[in-house]
Amino acid sequence: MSTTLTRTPKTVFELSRTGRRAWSLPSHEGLPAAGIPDRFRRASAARLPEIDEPTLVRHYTQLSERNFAIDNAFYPLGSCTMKYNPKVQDELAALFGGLHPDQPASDVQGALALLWTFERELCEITGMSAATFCPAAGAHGEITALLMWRKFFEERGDHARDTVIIPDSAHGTNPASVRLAGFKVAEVPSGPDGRVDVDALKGLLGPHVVGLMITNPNTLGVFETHIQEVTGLLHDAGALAYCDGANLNAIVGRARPGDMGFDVVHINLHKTFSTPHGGGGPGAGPLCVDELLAPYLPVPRVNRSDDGMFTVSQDNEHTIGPVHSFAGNFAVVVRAYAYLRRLGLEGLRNVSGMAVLNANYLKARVGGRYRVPYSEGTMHEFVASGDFLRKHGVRTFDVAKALLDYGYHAPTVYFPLTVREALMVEPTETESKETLDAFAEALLEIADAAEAGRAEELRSAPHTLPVSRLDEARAARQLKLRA
Amino acid sequence: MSDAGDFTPHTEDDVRTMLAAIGAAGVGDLFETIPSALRDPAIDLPRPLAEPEVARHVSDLASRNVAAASGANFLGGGLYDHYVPAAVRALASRGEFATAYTPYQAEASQGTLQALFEYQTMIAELFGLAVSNASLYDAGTGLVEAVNLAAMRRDARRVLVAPGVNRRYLRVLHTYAGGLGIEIEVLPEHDFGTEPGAIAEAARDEPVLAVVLQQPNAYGFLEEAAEIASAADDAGAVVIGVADPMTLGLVAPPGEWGAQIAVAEGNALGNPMAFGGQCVGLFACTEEFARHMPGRLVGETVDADGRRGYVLTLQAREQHIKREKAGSNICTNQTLFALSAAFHLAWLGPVGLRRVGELSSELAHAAAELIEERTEFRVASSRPFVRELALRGPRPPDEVASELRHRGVWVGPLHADVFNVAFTERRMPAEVDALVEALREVGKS
Repeated sequence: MSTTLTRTPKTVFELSRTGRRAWSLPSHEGLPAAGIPDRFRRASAARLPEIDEPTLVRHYTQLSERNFAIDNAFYPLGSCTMKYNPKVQDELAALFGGLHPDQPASDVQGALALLWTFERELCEITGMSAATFCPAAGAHGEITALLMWRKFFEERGDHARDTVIIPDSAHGTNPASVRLAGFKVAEVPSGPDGRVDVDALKGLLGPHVVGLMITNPNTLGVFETHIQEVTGLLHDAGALAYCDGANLNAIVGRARPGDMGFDVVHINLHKTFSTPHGGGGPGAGPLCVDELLAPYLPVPRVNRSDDGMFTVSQDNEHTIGPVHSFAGNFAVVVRAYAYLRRLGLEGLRNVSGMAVLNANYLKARVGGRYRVPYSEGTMHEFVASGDFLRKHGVRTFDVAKALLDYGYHAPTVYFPLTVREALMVEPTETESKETLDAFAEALLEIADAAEAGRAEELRSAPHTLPVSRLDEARAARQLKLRA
Repeated sequence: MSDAGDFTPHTEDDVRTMLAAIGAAGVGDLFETIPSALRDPAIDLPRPLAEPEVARHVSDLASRNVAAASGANFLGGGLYDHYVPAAVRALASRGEFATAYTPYQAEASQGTLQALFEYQTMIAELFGLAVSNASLYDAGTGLVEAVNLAAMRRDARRVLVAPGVNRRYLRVLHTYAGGLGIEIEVLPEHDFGTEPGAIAEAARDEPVLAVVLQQPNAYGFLEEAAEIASAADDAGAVVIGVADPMTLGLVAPPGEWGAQIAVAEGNALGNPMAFGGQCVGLFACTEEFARHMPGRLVGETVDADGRRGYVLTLQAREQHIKREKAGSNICTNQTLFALSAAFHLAWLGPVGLRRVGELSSELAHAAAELIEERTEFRVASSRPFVRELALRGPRPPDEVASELRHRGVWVGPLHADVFNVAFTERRMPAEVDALVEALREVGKS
């Protein structure tokens, strides 16, 4: 490791020296002064760093080297689908950089054609009727759909519905979105096989139920085999069914949420459609809906006229209105469109096929040692339990940190909440057998180390990274959010 | 596999060996838990394209667009045509930043975390407020989160919105209003701005949760922000400020004129306009609201050896811990665009930021003088403006915009009787001349 990695880096503010500059701006002769009266002017300058361009580039390049990323490491973060992001997509997205959303439609026919075509292709993939690209992330798709449900029932004069049912294994965004939409949450338990307990669901249904939000395959990586019965029960109760599409990668090209009876599904383009996640975003959470919900989709909407020209409508009778200042993360949408066109159906089926093969293979390699409680029918990810290491004084948290020393990002830990000491592993289809073998060896060696009484070594991991274990409790207690 | 290829590394031999280890006969067997009625439906998609073909296809689509940024682009309304320095683009395209996930494993994510910590510092400084988060989606949803945050600390449900708040942001707030259980009231418009007296008037009968004020406003004009904020404060309301970051080297930031929560569209900082598709919601607030702030927060701490490091902090507020009791549902945000904003702000520094504001403002004032001197168009109000201004003319705004467009000049957004023109450091004096000349011609006809 280079010394730049082991030295504690200065902040950009510590590198700042009065009078240094990277900026380069034009100056024009003879312009009038900005006529801004004193009472509107800034009193004290923002304390931004003063830094030259070489130092700026070196500072942030050195920081970037302190990151694990898909480009430099295996990143089996369950539920997050961290797979290789094809480079050509970035180049193609940049071709649309100079467009302003207030340009007339005749200026932006290529962008509108892309949105219109991609909408139809996503509907084909999900078995739905219409789609919107406005949601900027999966959770944004969730709240958008819930606001559509709200309006749907309001227009029908059905004001008694106020409760959304969510399985105990759901992503935390689901219940948080429900609350933001002004609804209540009712939790339905999972049965012994990790799937929704249908009898318990029946007990929760009634005229107060808005709908159900469920991930399929669910967060344990297993398919909800009785999904048609579940969506049927919802519809019989006059309620609606939402598919959290975070795990679409497992079934893309092989099964469709629309065929399962869902009324709406969101797709995380930054997962299944392989756009770079940016260290926390941007994502994109387009919603695909059936005919029942299509009128309520947010604006703007792209339409095609009979002459083949594309137009944009900013309002219509039933829409919930806009959910974004413009129309969502278009730069992400372009990347995902290029990915879909690149792969076609054949490529997409190979995505789900190899993703599921990789997860099952990895499970077979480590499952003899790490218990996988809901093991039947594993798809693209599996949830192992690190509970057996507790008697040796080692927790899943320590396993995660020890994996970093092997050069692997850790799996998702302590989620879903239904598995004790959970390690949620999603290898994705872009990893080779050699990578999976080496990762399996690392997991087994860590278990060996724990059982050989080397708990202390694991509890103090990582040992080879630029920093050792960070004190999270201190960060929350002595809150310091700025330099 | 066709010659188009995909991104999987599996050889036929790998697949065979792996299936044997699993104990399955074929890949199809792994999907047998999907009921057969649902499995393998007919899906009609275009054939796969090889990389050269997909590059050609998407480039062809792009060539059917005319980019405003390549010409005399005076479009504003929250999205402005600023220059993105090459160094910013180069840093943001580094795979180490671009292809990382949310920094849950702090020790393996110090690069993103420190850069976000620096971003939070810069945004707090920019707004003149105590703390910032690690970004939201955009200004529109940022405003929703600001109102939601205010509602956590106050009981009232009534939100007063100044008439000069960007209509797009107001519409997004309306979409969410039913879910949040808030009532929105737009204050009366007076000379393209807000009368400070309107606050006390509106607050007389019923308590007010928050007052939303944009400075400069959506017509580009400066509001009597300090006076309005003070009236809002007297009414017991939380003051939410909407700002334009590229004016904040010149203009008093929300924290100076009395806002407790501030939001802004951060696209101009380090990101191309991208059809509105590279937004980033800047968000900051006072200490009072810090522990309830939506979104990710990066905090400083130390490692086991006492070295400085950074972690996601106060995660107990967030959806993955608190679930339905969380204040916000946000998970994925706009981190990479926030990093670009930090790179750009570091590139500008305090002097460069002020110069961008001055340059944009000087061009705007030069244009205003020439327009009033040589054309039939007039600045819509006598209020001072910074880098964007509404014009009133002899013809309806949509006709004017369309005729200007035919002359290679873009203006907007359009309002009922007026339209905006906006200026940035990318606009050249020759383009200002082209705008003035085009307006002269259009005003005559």
